[in-house]
Amino acid sequence: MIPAGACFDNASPMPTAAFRAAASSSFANRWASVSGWTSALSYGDVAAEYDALSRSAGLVDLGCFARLRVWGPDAAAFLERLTTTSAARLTPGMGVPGLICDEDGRVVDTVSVRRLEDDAFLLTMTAPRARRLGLSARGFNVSYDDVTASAGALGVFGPKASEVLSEAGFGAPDPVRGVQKTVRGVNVAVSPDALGPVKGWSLIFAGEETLAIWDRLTSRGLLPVGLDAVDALRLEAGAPRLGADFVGADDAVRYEDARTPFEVRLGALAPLEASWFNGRGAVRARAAQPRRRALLPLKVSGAEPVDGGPVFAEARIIGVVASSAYSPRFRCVLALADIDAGFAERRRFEVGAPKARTGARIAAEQYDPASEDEDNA
Amino acid sequence: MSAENEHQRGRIEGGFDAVIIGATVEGLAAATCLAKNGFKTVLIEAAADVGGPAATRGFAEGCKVSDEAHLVNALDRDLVREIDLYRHGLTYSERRIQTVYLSDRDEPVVLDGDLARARETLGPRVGDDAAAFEAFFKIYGDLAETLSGAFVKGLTAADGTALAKALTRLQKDVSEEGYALLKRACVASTRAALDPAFDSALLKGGLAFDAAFGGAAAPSAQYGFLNLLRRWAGESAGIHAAYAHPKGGMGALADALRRAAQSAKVDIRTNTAAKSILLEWDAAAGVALENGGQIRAETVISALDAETTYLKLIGPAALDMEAQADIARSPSNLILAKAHMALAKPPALPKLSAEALRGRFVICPSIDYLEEAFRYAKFGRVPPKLAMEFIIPTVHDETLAEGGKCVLSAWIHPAPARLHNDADTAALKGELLDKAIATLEAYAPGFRKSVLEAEIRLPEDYAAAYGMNASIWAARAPLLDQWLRTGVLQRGDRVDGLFFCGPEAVIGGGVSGGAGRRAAGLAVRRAKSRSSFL
Repeated sequence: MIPAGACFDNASPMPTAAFRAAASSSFANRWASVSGWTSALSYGDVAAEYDALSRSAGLVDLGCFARLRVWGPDAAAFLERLTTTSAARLTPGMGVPGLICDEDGRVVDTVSVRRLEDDAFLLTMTAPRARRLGLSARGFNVSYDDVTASAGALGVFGPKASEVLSEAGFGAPDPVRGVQKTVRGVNVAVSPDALGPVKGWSLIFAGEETLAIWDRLTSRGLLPVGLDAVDALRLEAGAPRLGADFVGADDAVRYEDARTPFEVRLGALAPLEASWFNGRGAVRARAAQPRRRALLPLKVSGAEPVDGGPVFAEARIIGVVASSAYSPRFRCVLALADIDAGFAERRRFEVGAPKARTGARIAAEQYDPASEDEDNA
Repeated sequence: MSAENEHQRGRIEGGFDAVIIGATVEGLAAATCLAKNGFKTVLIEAAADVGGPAATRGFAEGCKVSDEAHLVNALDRDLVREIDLYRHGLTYSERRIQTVYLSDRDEPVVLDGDLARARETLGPRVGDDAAAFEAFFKIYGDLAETLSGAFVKGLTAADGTALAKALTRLQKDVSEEGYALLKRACVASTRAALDPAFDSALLKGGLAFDAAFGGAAAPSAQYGFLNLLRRWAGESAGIHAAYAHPKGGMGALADALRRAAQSAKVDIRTNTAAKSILLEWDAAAGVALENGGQIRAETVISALDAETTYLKLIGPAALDMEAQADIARSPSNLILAKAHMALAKPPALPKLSAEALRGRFVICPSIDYLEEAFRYAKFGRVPPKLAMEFIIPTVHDETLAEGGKCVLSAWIHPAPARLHNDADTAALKGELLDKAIATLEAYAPGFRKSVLEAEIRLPEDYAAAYGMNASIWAARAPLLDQWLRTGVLQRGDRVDGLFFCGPEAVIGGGVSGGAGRRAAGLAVRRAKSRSSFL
């Protein structure tokens, strides 16, 4: 999932490799800083972008992620320690999402690990986290190199992503395995990827080729999609976003600001039965304890986002709306609320409108993203 | 390798409740305590002998000396009682050893072995300071004694290592005044604590040496004074804050512990090195041996140093990176060095009777002298005038030397870990020995001529001899830091079923056995909570 930019991010965010292309495609001129990288909130029509992503396919700038090439004889062992993934079990071309946890079992970052060759991996994370990589590499024969600045990264997501890519010449034969392609002289790594619930492919190539790739894809009718549409879709699936719904343990100002995987609906990414990872002992202990906080998906009536609004139950504040967006599919606002885990079983809540000073409260209802998907299917 | 070990090669053994790695004093203590609690215990040791650094070693013809620590002042009293160490042959050749702070000009300052009675021995030589010392010891000695349990246990702060939280836990153990004193003592520098209390520079210098001993903190550095409380928290042979000399040197103490372990039916296996600690489902499952065998047990206690235990026997692939960073800290650039000298005759210390040679001597005539020594050592130079503590073990125990020879055993602190010009350790040893003899010559005229043979023992020598990391003989972090860290290391929650009683778990250093007893206690408590077999 694309992280959210912190409010004290670089005041003038850096352009991603695709920024020139994106800026020339943008009518809305609405931008946000994501980990210090300029990312489009919308290119003009959020509803059309949402439609593209949910019904056909959309083009997303993935330049805001930090990418590291990791290689060496101990690369797999190093990644198994650093992340919750079972990197050693991946075959070349395969990738898997995971987490980085700290020694207290709290989430530091969401990552994905992809095996490029036998002893070379691509590690994608939301920020470079040099200190943690350095700590983790002690005692391992491994090298890593931050390729964020030199690589261009675009994603094509949506149900028709594979078809669009095939038309453009980037098609991969195996739906779960990445390939290296040379299209008109440009080397592109095409690999399966996902933005929260939306499946698709990511394309990685030399940064200076971005404009050519962007043009090749958009000239075949692919619509560039901004963060607003992505946000609506991931809220429909109840997928949390680092920086908006929770902060990473290394960025948390107070100890209690950080969250365990179970408190932010990411428990599945920290499998306790697979290989050992940093903080597994603590995660195991946390799994046995009751959660302190919970991230709850809410349906809020009305059409206005309620980000930052207080959540009420039994006439007192029990949490805050961490993120929200209007969902065209449900015709209401969907939100993720960070609340006291003691109230996680309740169905109905009230949410205060964050900007209105009238004290008006809006009714909200818990919903289960998984069962909603089944209803629709 | 013996025939018996040959037989064991590659064998997987079960049926044990606990494996203890490393037959140091702590390891022996842990093994004995566990066995006494009904654990079927096996103790493995890489060397041919038990005891680790607590050994009596021949260093010159006909001369033996305690290789590392030469006096007992922090032997855990609960351990002595629990495993009945006296019955297993622990004897002191000298208890209540008086401390003599030497001066090259004036009369020395003599503290009675029982510090509570030091007023008499201090006498009129130091004027009002005799009464001042009595009052000082009344306050801080009492506080130290109250804290002796906490010094063995270590402090643990749940979230991080917040000092305030840790101190609050102590609040229930000490009085309100004591708590205020403790808060002050925790942060005070040695100089700040001693300067207002006494007039005599010699007394202050000697106490400052005792406070700085083993630590990296110079007398003006904050957090330095607490170390003195640690030294005063111990007891030996029933006397609070006293020093005692075990008959036969430190090796005899290790022997007594070995006998206690054997009588508790601990299976002691020497020449058996651990290769790794077996982990299954994040819990300790036993120990893999260098000879290819395995000993399986649900409880593993390591008495090796933290780096060997966690980074070598467990390894970074199963260790949290934060823990690894915490364990693999770079050591101080100051070390403790030890000098052993065989002498033709006892040194002649003017203004002292022959009887006074039974004391523990400290050469550190003022705080400034010690400060100067730290300054030199910090920048990789051997101080021209060394600060040192020495005893003459042969006066206490004639069995340590033959043919009327005399042995001198001295700690030199501070000493540089490396020379500023990166010269090899031989050069460092040569220079340390030169300066040590020159320093002693200034206090005991004619000393140089009486030296027959001499050696310097550096951390590298101990590391090579006892298979541990040299960094544990580097000067230690401030006591407060050790205190907090020890709690974290001992608690054993890094790996379920693994407990730690290595040298880092001994707060303030010295021969204690307390960390081993504590580790065994934690292991027993865990076993009781898990099953009903006990």
